[in-house]
Amino acid sequence: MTVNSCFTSEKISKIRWIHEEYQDANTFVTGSWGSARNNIKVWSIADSNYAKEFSIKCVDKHSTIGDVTGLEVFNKNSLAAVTVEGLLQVFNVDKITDNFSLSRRGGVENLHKFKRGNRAPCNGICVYDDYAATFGEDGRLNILSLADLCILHDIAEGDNCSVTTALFANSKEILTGNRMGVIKQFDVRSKNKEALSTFPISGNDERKSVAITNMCCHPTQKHIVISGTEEGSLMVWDLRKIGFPISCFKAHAQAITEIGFHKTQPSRLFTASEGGEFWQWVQQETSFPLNQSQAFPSESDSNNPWLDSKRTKNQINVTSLITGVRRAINSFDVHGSHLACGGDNEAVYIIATE
Amino acid sequence: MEEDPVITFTINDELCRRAGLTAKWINGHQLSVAAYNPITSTTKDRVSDFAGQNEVNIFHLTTEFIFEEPILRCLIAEANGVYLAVQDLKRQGTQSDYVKISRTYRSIIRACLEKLEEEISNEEISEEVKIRFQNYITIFYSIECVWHLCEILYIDTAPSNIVVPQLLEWTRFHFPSYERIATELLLYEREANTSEDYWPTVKGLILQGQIEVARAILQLHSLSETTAFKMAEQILKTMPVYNVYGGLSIQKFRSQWHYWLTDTELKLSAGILSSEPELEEIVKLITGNQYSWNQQIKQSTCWYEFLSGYLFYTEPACKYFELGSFANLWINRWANEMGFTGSGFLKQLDRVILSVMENDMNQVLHSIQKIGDNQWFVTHLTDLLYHCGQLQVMGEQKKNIAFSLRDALLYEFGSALMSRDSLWMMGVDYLEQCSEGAAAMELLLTKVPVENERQALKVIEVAKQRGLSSVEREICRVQATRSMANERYGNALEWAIRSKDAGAVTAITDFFLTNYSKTGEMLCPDVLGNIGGKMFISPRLVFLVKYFDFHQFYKRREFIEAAKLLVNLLNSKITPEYFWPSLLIDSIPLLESKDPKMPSKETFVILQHLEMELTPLIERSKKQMEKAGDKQPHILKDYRMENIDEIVKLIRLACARNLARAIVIENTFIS
Repeated sequence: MTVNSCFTSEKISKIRWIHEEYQDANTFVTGSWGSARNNIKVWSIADSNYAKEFSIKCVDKHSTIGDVTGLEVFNKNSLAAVTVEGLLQVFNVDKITDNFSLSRRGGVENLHKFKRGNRAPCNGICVYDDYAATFGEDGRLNILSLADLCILHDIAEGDNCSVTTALFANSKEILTGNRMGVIKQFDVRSKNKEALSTFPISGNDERKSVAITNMCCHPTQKHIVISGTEEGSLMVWDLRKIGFPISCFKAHAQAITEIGFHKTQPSRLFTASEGGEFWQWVQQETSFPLNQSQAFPSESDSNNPWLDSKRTKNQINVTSLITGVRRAINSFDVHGSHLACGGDNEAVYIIATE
Repeated sequence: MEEDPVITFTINDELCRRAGLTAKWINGHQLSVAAYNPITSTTKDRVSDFAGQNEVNIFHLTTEFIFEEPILRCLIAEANGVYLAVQDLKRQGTQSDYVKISRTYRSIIRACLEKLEEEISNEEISEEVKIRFQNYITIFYSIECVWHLCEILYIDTAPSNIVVPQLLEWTRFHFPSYERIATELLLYEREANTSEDYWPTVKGLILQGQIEVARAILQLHSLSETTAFKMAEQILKTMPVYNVYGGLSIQKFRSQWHYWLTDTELKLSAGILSSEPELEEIVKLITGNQYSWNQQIKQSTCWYEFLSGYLFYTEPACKYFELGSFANLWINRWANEMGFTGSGFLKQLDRVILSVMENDMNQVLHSIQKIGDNQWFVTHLTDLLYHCGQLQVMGEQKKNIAFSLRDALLYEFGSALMSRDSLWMMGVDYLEQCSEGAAAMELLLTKVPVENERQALKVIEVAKQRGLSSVEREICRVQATRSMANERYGNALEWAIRSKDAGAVTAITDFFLTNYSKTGEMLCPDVLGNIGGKMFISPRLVFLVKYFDFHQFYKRREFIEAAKLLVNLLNSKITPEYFWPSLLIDSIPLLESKDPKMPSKETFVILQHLEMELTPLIERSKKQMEKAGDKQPHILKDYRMENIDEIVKLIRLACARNLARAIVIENTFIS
């Protein structure tokens, strides 16, 4: 495993790989926060003259006002970015003779507003195919079409507390998490704008709020959702029997900032924290004899270690991917054998696991 | 020590010129200046002479801050990581740890210089930017040069304080041109001496003490097989070089060296090299021939260029504490040869290097503060030297003030970063290490501009990690107020709970309750329904949550549970005064319902509270109203009923009916 780093001169809020079809991604995009003007930058990595080292270079950028709070890749090379100002922008990342460039395709403004009409901060975006949902401090959920750049549906009073994270469970259901630790499930198509179900979490101390900071779902078994909390713990939910988490365990010492599975290797989960940790959770090769008739044992419910807290502890190995980062790692992304992460120490790290 | 010059800035404003000036700090780096006419107790009270004649302007002056520039920002961000690594060693690191750290710092500076140079060579940038970058290069080149020297003399100290070998290294590093040409010459092989750079390079290498390389190049000369060259080679080869690890005592080495010197000088005077004047010159240099060195001095670009080479040939065992006096001797000689007089011929960098060699720490630190890097260098160097125990600065009473000096520098640098919007996180790292830091962080963290909740949570996280709970609370309180203003009441309540400020929670809860009694609408049910254990922060909130639960029971038509909870609430002693009417009105439907829901005992409780709490309350408020001359007592109001007397009447009636019914039922035995 090799780690390469590059200082960016801005705090990174989001980092995403641009997908490539038959090889590991070597272009990524970052969004920044905390400066007067923030940037969406495209970076490319290239093998340098030294073995196992990459040279990381910024190849294009788009400057914007306000923190970049969400950045997601859709349709392989399109990019949806939201800023805290409630502006959604869609970009194409095009490769023109080995050089990547960022071209803005359009945007939607003023996505989030308080009751009096003043702008409310937007906390992020999640995407599903061509659809996106934005969420913010006004508790509103906007469901947008990224192809037509228009709002298809909105749930104006989704939450009376700020929504901190959201996730498409499938094409018609969306999960939101808020700062007081409540997960809600909405049907994005139904006229009824009430939550389908609501389930609160609780932390170590009942008297303290524990925010849901991020959520992700299992790439092949979509009903398994893992949420990360402000206290640094992970909670595993089965969407078929919601109400209580299946298991909950203490992981990081500080808030989890992002959590996600490897998209093509579901046995690998990654978590990053406010304390500068970046961990990999790998499912061990099962030691007990498997039922031979099962072609894909890990695909079956009974073998998924996340669904059983005892097995989670026994079968999952946690390793730290990076050390010595003393500030929050705000975001990461995994593609093939390449990992990228970045955060408040104003650096991006590229980890090649092979 | 020379006086620092006072720098004058002119405010070009007519009113300011006539009236005078006043100024106030806006924050750590911005000064607001405006026209001002002093008014004292003896000034006559009349319209100012300056009124209405000139435009009134307010000027904002800001200090120059170089780290906004992205390339330099990378430098401080990266160096900040190293700085934190130094703190982690807690002064327990080994010498090699600190040498490694010092080198990391220098490599960061070198990388930054490289990037700046790359930018300058870029065709597209403007002339103005080029000049600015050139200026940064000058600043950081000087920093690297001084840092390297400090590293050699203070951190990477050789056994028995021998300095010459490392000084040679330092010179080579900062005057790399000879070595570069030498590499090219070595590629030529035999044809080398046809290059016009040949002799200057050989001489340059000799002046830098790089005998090995010089010999290799001499070998490439087409006449290298002649006697003269062979003689020269012999002399160069046999020159004794002092080596601490060589096992020779200094005395032994000296006698060896003197023997070699006398021998070589004899050879020279015998004229064995006179056929090759260039070679003869070179050998003269290595014997320390005064005249030859003086000739070379004239070629030097600055005073220290040939110092280490000269020491190598004349004082190879020179110790660190002797370096100052040698440097001074050399500087005089250099000035003499160059024809400089007075003291103005030394540039700032020249002077700093002299001070380092003289081990005059006070002067070094004083000078490097003026380098124009917003104190980055002086802060990090002082900190590093302090950590490896090499910082000895004498204060007025001959005490070592190293600790307080480092403290003050960290404080200054940290506060400066804190006042920059996007660098506050780094500022905290510096403040954290100084003795006044906690107090400063407490003040400054609450001033970090927070524009949204994400940013607020970042500041809170930083405060939490450092145990600054007052900052945490303050920010939560501000967020609660903001949310109230934005009509996000549930969100406000959550922030107030986070602030652990029971007063704030109670105030927001009151808003929920009064809003309910006025409108009948329960705000933010999703928030209230999920407060759970967090409600215990304020009795008022407990009341609200329980009252909300009562509504939930009612909604679900679980009337028995609802009735129980209502009576509990009546008995709870945490009912706010203004809520008595609403709470008692809520009992009416339960009392009046077709099938009995309130037993007699509970009905008595309701009656009791009606008479003991609500009636006196009505009396009191009526009296107050009369006093105020207002006829209608409308403080105690519920959305369902306007008139308070009506309410009391209705409740009494309902209680009486239910009581009659309940007593009959309770006393009927069904056998």
